[in-house]
Amino acid sequence: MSPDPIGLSLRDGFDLSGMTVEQAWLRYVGLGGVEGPAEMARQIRSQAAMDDYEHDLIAQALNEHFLDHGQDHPVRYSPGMAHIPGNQP
Amino acid sequence: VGPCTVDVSQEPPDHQITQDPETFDEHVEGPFDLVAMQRLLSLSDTIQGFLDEFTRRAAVETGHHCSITLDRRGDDPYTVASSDGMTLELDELQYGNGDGPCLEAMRTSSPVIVVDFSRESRFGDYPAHAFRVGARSSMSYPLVSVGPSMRGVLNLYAETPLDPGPELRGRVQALAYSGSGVVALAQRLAGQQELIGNLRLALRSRTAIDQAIGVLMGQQRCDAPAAFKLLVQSSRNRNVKLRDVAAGILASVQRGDPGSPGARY
Repeated sequence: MSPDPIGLSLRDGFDLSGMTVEQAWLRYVGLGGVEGPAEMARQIRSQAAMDDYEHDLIAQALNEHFLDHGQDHPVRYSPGMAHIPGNQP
Repeated sequence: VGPCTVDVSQEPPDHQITQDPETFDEHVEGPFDLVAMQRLLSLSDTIQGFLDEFTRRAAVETGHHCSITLDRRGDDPYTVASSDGMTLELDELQYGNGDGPCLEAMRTSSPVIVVDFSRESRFGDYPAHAFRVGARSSMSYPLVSVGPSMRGVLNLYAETPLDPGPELRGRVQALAYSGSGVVALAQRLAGQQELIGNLRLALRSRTAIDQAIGVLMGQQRCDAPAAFKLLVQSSRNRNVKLRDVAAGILASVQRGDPGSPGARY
């Protein structure tokens, strides 16, 4: 399934966040992620095929960084999640 | 002022003191070889203890006071380890003065030697202060490759005038080489400790999220990915973090609220 077209991709969201892979990975693990940092980074970079749950875990990890900076969920979730537009960064 | 100062950057290369720290002789063996380093690590309970023990042993090795100054880009220089209080005071005086042999060695990446503080004309008021504190000489040698955006210097302070001949210079260069390895190792260990601390925090919030997913699976009769989706939708709707949504669900369960299928969180 292709992701919801509104909002930032994982890759753009990660680039815009300014986080290191380790910082993003710590957020991802804190939400329930089980992959290592290298695999998570590969998924972000290559937009590798992943299920909606894995995609949304990473999207949520990135969005929680933006929440800390006053922005409302700019990274898009999988199509199974109805998009509610937030503040764009 | 007589020839009381020796700036080795002015001297010919046969003194075997390399000006560019990147070109230090890689085969220089410090007084702390691999076995000594392992022993030092095993005797130290903390990373700070490891660094302090190194400077204490360097002080014993040379018969002088020893410290290590680090300068992370964008921060002020600071003493990361010292053999004793006098050394720390001599370092702090330089930082307050904004000038001194250690800071000069840091700036130029070259060794700086003061043979006699009572006759030293460089570094403003610092030599007079250092002399009052009890130092007569100092040798400041840059560390090698201690990490990205980081510079370091090993300082020796002597209470008597030093004879900075090739033998002493070689020993201090070797000490600086060992010190570089000690600082690099300490930084790696500190990075690992920080990662472990951050993982502990991450797992604490994850426990609450996992428990909330379990509660939702029971209440909504759904699988874990669907329960996670409910949490994310609530996070988006309320613009709060997932762990806060999870904490709310767990609190409502503790209050005895049974929840209901199809409920919004």
